[in-house]
Amino acid sequence: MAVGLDLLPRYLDPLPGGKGVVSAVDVIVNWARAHSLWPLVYGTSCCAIEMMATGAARHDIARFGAEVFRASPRQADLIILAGTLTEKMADHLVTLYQQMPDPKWVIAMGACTISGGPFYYDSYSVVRGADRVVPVDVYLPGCPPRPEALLHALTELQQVIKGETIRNRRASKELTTAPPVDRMAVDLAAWEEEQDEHIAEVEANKAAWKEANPDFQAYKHPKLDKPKLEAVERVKTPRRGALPSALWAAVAERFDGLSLATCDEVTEDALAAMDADSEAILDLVIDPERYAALVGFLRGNEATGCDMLHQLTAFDDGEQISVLVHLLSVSQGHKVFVRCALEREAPTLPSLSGLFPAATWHERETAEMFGVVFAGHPDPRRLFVAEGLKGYPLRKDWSDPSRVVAREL
Amino acid sequence: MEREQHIEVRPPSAGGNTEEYWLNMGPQHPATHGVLHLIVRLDGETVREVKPELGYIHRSVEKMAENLTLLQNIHLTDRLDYLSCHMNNHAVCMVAEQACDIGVPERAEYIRVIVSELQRIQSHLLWWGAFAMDIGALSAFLYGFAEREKITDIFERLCGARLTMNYFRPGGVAQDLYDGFEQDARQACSDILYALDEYQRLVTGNLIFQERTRGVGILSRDKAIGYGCSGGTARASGLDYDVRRDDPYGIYDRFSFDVPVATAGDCYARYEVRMEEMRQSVQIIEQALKDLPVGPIQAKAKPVLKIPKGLQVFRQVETARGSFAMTAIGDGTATPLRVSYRSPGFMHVAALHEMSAGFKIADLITILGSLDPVIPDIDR
Amino acid sequence: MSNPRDILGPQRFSQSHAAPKLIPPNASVTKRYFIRVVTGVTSLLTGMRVTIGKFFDPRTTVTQQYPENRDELKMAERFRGRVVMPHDADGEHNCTGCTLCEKACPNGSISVLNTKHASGRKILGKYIYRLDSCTLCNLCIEACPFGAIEMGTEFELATTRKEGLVEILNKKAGRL
Repeated sequence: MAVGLDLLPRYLDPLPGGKGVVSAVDVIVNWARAHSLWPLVYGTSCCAIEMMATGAARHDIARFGAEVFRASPRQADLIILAGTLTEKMADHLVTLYQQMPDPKWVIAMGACTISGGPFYYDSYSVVRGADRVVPVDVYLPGCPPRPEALLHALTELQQVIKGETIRNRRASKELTTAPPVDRMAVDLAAWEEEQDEHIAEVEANKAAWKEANPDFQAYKHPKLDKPKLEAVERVKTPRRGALPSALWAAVAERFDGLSLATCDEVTEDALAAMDADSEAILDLVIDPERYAALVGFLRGNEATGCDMLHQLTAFDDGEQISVLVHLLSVSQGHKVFVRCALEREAPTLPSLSGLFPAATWHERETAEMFGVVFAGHPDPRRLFVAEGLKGYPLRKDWSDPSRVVAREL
Repeated sequence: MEREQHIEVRPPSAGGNTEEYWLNMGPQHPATHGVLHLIVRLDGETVREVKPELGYIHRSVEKMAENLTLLQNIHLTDRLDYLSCHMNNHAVCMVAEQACDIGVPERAEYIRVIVSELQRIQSHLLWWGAFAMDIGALSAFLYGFAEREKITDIFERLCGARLTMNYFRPGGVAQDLYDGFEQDARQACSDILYALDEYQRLVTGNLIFQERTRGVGILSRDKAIGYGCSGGTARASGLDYDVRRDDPYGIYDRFSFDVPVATAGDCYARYEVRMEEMRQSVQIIEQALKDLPVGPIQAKAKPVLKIPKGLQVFRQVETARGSFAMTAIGDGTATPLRVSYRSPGFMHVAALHEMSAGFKIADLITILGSLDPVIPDIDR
Repeated sequence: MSNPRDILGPQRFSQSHAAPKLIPPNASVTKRYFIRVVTGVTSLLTGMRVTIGKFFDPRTTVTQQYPENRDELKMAERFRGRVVMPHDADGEHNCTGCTLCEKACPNGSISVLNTKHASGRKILGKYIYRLDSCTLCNLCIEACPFGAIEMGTEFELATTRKEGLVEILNKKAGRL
């Protein structure tokens, strides 16, 4: 169809009145295209909910002829890029775009797809603007934009389509290729350069100006009348389950040399203080050798009874990598934390996936983000980041200027 | 059904004249609720193994959080589980409040509960529509959204945004209720109750729906605990745990509400539990509206919220999907040393394989829909 | 091994609402078949009664006619559409260039660039607002002590020009 239309001007233009026919065909074709856009079902995050809301009864995108959300790119001619585009997804988006038949259009919905939005700075996995990957026709700012705003973007796109002609098909929009920069620093540097002369001049003539205008009074900006806030005493949330001292007693009986992360020395007073504080949680520090044994004991022992692994993660304090395990007793309600400090070079721990299936994915994530090796893990693959990311992003000494835009200001 | 926990990548040769094959579902698939990639091993149409592949919307929120203050972190948690953003905000605010010893005025506590429960209903309505659409009932999607828009309108008038509200602040909430909020909320509650009865007739009672969901995707109680499932998914498997009741935060211990628990552990049980949760949320809202005190909505807090060096602060909340937890470790500066989010859907998708092996591939869609996953929450 | 798809499985949820009557577990194949046909059709009709009722009831119409209703469409007072800087009749604004909003912004959407007046006083030179990355989180407005910026309720911001999304909000330099 498109190929045939492209040939029309070549044959009709030389004929008398042929140009008028081509224009008429233009109008009809563009009208048809603009009012029967078939969007692809493509939504990655928050904006997708607003896109769904636009398709639902209240806003009813069917009034614009665009309700036929197609699951296959081969039947669609519009992508509404609803949601953040990550580097792992970018390849797939290009594939989808290439599978769509011409002519095709793209609406970049939301801040993430225009520039990376909230993930512009410090993120290691987000593409800063979908127009680095596919050509975008209409940009729709907002986070997320209202459904009406999406409908407005659709009408804007219809205007774009109606301006097209088969005579010279619109050249595809160009992709952005310039690498993302720290925009705040760039703008500031440009501004300072621009202002250098002016400021030097001001500095030089300041005294003279003050002499010439002796009664100059600076304008005092009126402050907003904001309500004065009162401090409120904090009410602690009540405790559920066993007291920390009881849990400590059960654990200390079996393991010696344990310590707590919250106090330097475990004394009667320290335990009593923890019992009195309803928000205090037992935070055990264990060496790597007895780590699995301790978690197994906490799970199996009746007094502790921690039957659920709530979370397993780690943190890097700049010197050591500490693995954190959050255990929860569903039946009693208390929580116990276990932490285990590891050396930065080749940190290794036994895997907990035999005790808790939940640990399998948490350990994969921790291995990927911190480089902790979990010995005996059944499925030691990457979990989140696409292949090609070097190092362990959540470590403090990790940096990769090709992926991360650091904010200096 | 006895199976090995982790099946090796090479499929064992299947008996008979069928041959097992691998199928990629997603990341761009309308039924995966976003960009989830499921690698499915099939025998004919029967699912043998499901390997979820994550990370297509991994936005490095935890890394970014290390360079943002706690106040700035609130708006990022809006974008994790965007259908439970008030509850996510609540977790961040409670971490800040516990770390810096900030109290919350009574009125703000009540407002927090009311908007959280409204959002739970809103999220469940969306889930209901999407779940029914997964099974093939397109009209349910339209009904769910029409009802949801009423709550969205309230949020828009209250917070200024429809989806990513950024409404809670350490020490209270950002803005006071607008005039007429209570009336709007009551109206929304009664509309929801009416609509829920309508939904029962529209979808719940339908034989096709029943047959597609009953006995499908069974998750046993042991498995639910083992995989760390929470929320409606765990309660449908007989795990009687609700953070609002069993690890109370805010003022949830002042309200009387039931925690619906089912024992079947199938998709229909998850459906019923969530439908009942909406009714319970309405009850909580009504109680909270009745007792809503007047007074300030925000307490005085330090201008810069610092978590003391080495302190680990952990708070969990019950979002529409389950237990969302935030752990922050301080280094004594305005930005935390490490922030970690525990998302409920992460564990539910991890358990997906346990639920779907042995069922048909069409059931896999049903099972995934019944888990109510929000992929950005899982990937973070 | 029992068939996992058996709809006769026990349903022990206590507060079951409108669940249809289950087929008796000991029913014969024929009985089962007929019960299913009847239940299927009746449950379908029950559902369709809801939709048909909505179809003929004009009170249940929820569709809003955007863009035809553009004149009546009023955004909520607190609606956050974009950041604006109100100017008074003389074209003056209230910004002092204190950069509190710039520091409050979580994603660097604001750059406050200052200049100097002839008296040596620091005043606002250029207020860059990047709508393309703004998440409308309201933190800048809460941070501003002078009410110099506000959230506008404009929402029809779609454009074909990306460059147009980075704007300079102030019309002239700061007041003395």
